[in-house]
Amino acid sequence: MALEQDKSQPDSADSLVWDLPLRLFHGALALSLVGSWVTAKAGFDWTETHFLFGYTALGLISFRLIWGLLGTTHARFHNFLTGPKSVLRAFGQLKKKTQPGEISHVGHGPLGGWASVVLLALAMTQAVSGLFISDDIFYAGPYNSAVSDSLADYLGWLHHTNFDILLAAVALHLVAIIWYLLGKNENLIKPMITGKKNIGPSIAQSKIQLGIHSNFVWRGVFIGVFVLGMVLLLVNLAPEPEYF
Amino acid sequence: MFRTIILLSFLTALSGNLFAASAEERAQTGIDTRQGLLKVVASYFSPIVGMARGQIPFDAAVVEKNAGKIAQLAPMLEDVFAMDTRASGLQSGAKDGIWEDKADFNSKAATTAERAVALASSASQGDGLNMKAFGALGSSCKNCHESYREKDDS
Repeated sequence: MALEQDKSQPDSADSLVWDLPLRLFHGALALSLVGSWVTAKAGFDWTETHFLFGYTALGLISFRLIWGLLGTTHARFHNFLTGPKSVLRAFGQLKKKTQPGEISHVGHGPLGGWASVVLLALAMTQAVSGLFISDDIFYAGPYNSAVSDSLADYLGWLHHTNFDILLAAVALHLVAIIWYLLGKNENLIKPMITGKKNIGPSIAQSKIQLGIHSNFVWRGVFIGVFVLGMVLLLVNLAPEPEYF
Repeated sequence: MFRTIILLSFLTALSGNLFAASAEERAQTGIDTRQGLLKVVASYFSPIVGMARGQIPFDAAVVEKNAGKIAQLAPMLEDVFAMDTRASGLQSGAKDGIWEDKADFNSKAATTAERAVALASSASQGDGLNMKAFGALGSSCKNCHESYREKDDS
């Protein structure tokens, strides 16, 4: 785990940047957010499915938080969360076209890095607040009875307000990708699917300028199973609802 | 004479306080009453929700009885919300719209009563819980809550 980079990789070939567990996480989170949205709008008899999407999102976000500490180079928070100076500089470079055959960043840039953390925080807020709230009529989250009515009401307000913020943040995320594609001439979508980028002739001095040599699949499976177990435990330890 | 004036002014001041307190108490009683009524409604609806979710066994007699009670209780919503407590400054989940559009509020309560009657009669026909009637009743509750129940902590 100390040496994740492969310094001898050939310059012309595509290098692995986004590991497979990270890509699966990304796709699954996108699906569970869309699924949550659709089932929230579809009427009360879809609420149980809505809960399942919420639990899935909760597990996926927990996975990503652990992966940000134990995952591959470009998945780790400390490799892409940068200070305000480089964030400001990155804003300035948003207008600059990327030359053919070049890329702006191997992993996340300063803006994309922070954006991913903001999206994670918003999605986490959404999933956690959902555990405690009730629609007054048909359904209550598994931990609704564990909090006071006024706290549950506040979290219900948060669940509905935070959703709008999350939706706006996802829209901004998509706009940024389209801007990169059309405005900057840089395709960020393909690497998020294949995992690979053409890094070009490498004069890299640090591992964050290099690709990764492994997907860490087994580590991903292990953390995935752990997170799944935690979510199942959380849902099953919830107090039984009473009907009287 | 002097003592009488002192006594009278004292009593006047005191009664002023008493009336002020009683206005707030009256508003609080009004809020407690309407919240109580909605809790009673919920207590009749809750077992039906449990049956709809398959968490307690279906019992036609309970559905018929409870939906019947909800049909009797729903028209009382108009009465218990007749007192306008907006000026009292007391906290409750009631939105101002209740008193700004009383006709709509009352018609929503009337819809709940009608749908409760429909659910009760469907239960007496004996083919399990009519999910359409159940959903219609619950949606009428939800519809009114979305318009008139404050969902933040105020």
